[in-house]
Amino acid sequence: MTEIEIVDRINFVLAEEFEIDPDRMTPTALFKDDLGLDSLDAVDMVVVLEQEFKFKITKTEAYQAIRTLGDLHAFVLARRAEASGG
Amino acid sequence: MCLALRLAASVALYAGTFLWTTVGMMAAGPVYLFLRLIHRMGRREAVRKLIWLYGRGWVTLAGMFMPIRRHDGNVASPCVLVANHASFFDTYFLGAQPLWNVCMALKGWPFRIPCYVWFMRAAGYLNLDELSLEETLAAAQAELTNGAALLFFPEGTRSRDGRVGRFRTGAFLIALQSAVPVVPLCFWGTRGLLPRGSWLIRPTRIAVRALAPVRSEDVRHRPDGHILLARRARGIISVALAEMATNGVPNNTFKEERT
Repeated sequence: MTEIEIVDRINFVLAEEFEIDPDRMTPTALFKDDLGLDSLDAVDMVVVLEQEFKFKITKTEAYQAIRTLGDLHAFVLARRAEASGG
Repeated sequence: MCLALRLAASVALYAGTFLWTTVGMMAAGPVYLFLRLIHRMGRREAVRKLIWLYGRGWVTLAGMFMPIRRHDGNVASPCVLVANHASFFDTYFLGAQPLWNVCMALKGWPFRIPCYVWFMRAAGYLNLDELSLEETLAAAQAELTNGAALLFFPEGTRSRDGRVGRFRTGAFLIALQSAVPVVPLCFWGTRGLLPRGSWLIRPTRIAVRALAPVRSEDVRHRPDGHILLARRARGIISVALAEMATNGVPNNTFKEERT
């Protein structure tokens, strides 16, 4: 998958899971203020991302620092790069 | 029921809710002091008892306009209550179940309702939009350790079509981490009373029913245990609601408010 495809896939699975209007899925969108997600939604975000991309997400500083959709894109891309040894 | 009667019942229920809320606000101070000084309750517990008494009174009042069956059986605390969510009035109907020391975990918008917000803050309800995940988990664990019941609407929002939506799994993670039972709570008929997007109350048959705790021993130590538990609870609530729609509400565990 290319980076663009991964980003699109992240946006798609989150929009599906949390019933978010795809038009609101911009990289600068804040999870709480712009996408309407609450603290417990983070649990399900981990679940859908782990299922979609087949890696474990632990409470690393990088994950806990995620505030925007763009942060999440960067986090997932970095994890995929780590997993593929790049 | 003809339209005029429906409109009259709707207006009466709104007016009754307004009056009861006014009376409740005026009585809150003395009752709060009574609970603190005579019953030696803590601040949060006293406010939660006040809120439950307000809800119980509202259920009795609403029972004058429609048949309401409330659950008067045993529900053990601490526990995690998970309820289907079909109407704004679901939280009012919490007065129709026996636990009063209930800590609700809610999204942010109910915390912006004037009159109610002070009570919600004072009761220590969890604002899921304000807290981080770690703060939510810690606060939830503390409430359960202190013997409270935690209430979640795991659908996250009111149902759009009457069906029970997908359950978010955070409530179930908390229950597993704290080793407390998950108790499904069914609100039956509340969507007919006031569906999402509507302002016209339509009196209808209502039932509030707490079910037996969801079996969790076999998923307790699995990494995906909270996901499986959420699916199980959703299935149990969906089946119970469908059974009540088909066969009516079982009589043995309910007290008829009015028939």
